[in-house]
Amino acid sequence: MAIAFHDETFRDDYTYRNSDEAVRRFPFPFGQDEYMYSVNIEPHAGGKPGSVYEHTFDIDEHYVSECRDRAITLERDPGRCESLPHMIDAEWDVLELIMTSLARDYPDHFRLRQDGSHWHWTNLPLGIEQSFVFGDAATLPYPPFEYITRQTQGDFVILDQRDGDLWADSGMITQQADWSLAFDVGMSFKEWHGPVPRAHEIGVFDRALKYLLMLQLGKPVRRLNWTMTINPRLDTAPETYPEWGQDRASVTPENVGKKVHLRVEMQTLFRLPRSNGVLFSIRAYLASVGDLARYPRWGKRLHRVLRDLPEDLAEYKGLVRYKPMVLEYLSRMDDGALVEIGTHPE
Amino acid sequence: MSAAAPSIKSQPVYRPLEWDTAGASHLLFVAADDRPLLDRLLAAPPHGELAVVVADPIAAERLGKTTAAAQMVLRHDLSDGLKSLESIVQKAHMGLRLYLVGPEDAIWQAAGIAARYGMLSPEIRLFQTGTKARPVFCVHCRAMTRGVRTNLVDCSGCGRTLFVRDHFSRRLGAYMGFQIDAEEPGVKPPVEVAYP
Repeated sequence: MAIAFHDETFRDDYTYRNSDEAVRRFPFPFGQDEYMYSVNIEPHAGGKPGSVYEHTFDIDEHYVSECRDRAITLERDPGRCESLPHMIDAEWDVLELIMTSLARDYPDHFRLRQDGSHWHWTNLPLGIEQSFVFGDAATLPYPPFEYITRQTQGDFVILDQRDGDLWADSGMITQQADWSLAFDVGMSFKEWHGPVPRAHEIGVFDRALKYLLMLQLGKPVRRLNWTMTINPRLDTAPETYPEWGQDRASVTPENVGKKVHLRVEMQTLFRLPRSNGVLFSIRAYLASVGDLARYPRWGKRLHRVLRDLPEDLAEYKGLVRYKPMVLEYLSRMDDGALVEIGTHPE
Repeated sequence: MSAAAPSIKSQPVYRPLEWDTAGASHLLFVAADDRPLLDRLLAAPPHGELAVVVADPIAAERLGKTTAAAQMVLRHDLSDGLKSLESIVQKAHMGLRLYLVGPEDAIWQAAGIAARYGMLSPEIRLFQTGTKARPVFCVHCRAMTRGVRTNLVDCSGCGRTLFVRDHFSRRLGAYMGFQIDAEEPGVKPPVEVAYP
């Protein structure tokens, strides 16, 4: 089925909106009333039709505008896309994985013709036609990883596997929750996750690393992660913190439902065939607290999770300044009734 | 040296420095005169050729009088010392082991030079000593501000007041700095000496 793409913005006037359907399929991450870090990894092997898990890479109504926002960010700061020179095989791996997946899963929007190494790519939503030679970077207008991730929703990191570790050696990072590719590129798995509180101590990264080193070709995995963002803004990078930091002080009891967004990342990991690297995709979904609270289950549960969130996690996620107003807003909808386990909206 | 676990795991922890017996030749780079450490190391030199590059005036003065290494290069400042290090490393053969002693700014710049000439991290041992002053990478304008002793510092590039975070990049050899008052302009904690 053809997707009706929105024309909207993720900065300045923030015209981003979710349709009713987009709210209903939102990957709400809280199955229980409390939250703690865990290695919540499961196979990424499809999901219910219409859900964000159905396809390998989820394309939704925000696709065209999100690609446009990425182009704006890259125009202002080309360093948001970095790839160390030894990563070229992995770049082609990623291009192949994304093109073949999109063409298979969304034939109304994407097409790929392969004749040996001569490929022809059609991206109808963005109006792109491109003939190129697979393996010959000179036949594309950008390096292969940048080329294809400019046309895909979500941030991407390619991890190089060596010395029993995963190194963040390539990235397309324009919509991150406050971490810097320019600073982190080339780091090991645990260095890169260094600032995350608590998770190291409870062994989350030891277990996750061990698991990911064993990741098999054709058996991708996924997990959800979350934070909160003021305004539907994708570019919440440390680089531009001087631009968006003040937004955190702009929340009032009147605007809280519209201004504060739950930001959920569907993180998927794929083993890459030639390079033996791992593609780490971070697909962000934004929904305003007001939109989510239209489902009473979600409103109550979000209230309870935020209310009981340990202070150091709230600090790390940058919620401290406005969390009391979110709690006040959601508490009015929370009658204290039991909310059964599960992330479903109704 | 105490090795308390850092609050952020990217921050390096330095183990007591020992010679690597697997090395065929050895290069000791000294950017601070840690006398007990250097006396201990040089009293029991490793097998194979040993070269010493000194990049600190006090250490150069003292070691120049007391040390007999096959190759001894005495420089009185860091940038000259790094140049000497580079000229040795670029001619080096397999089996070289590199030992970097000094403040973090010096030893990570040296490690970066060695990496550029293909040395691998298991071939390089680092030990922080001397000043705790930090090199700080501004995440907003990418300028490096060196010799930072305080929790807050004005960026040498964009002039913003940066908070120095414990997050460390080995590739950049620097800590992350970000604008401290981005959420409430002008609201800043007091400046304190944090890295003497």
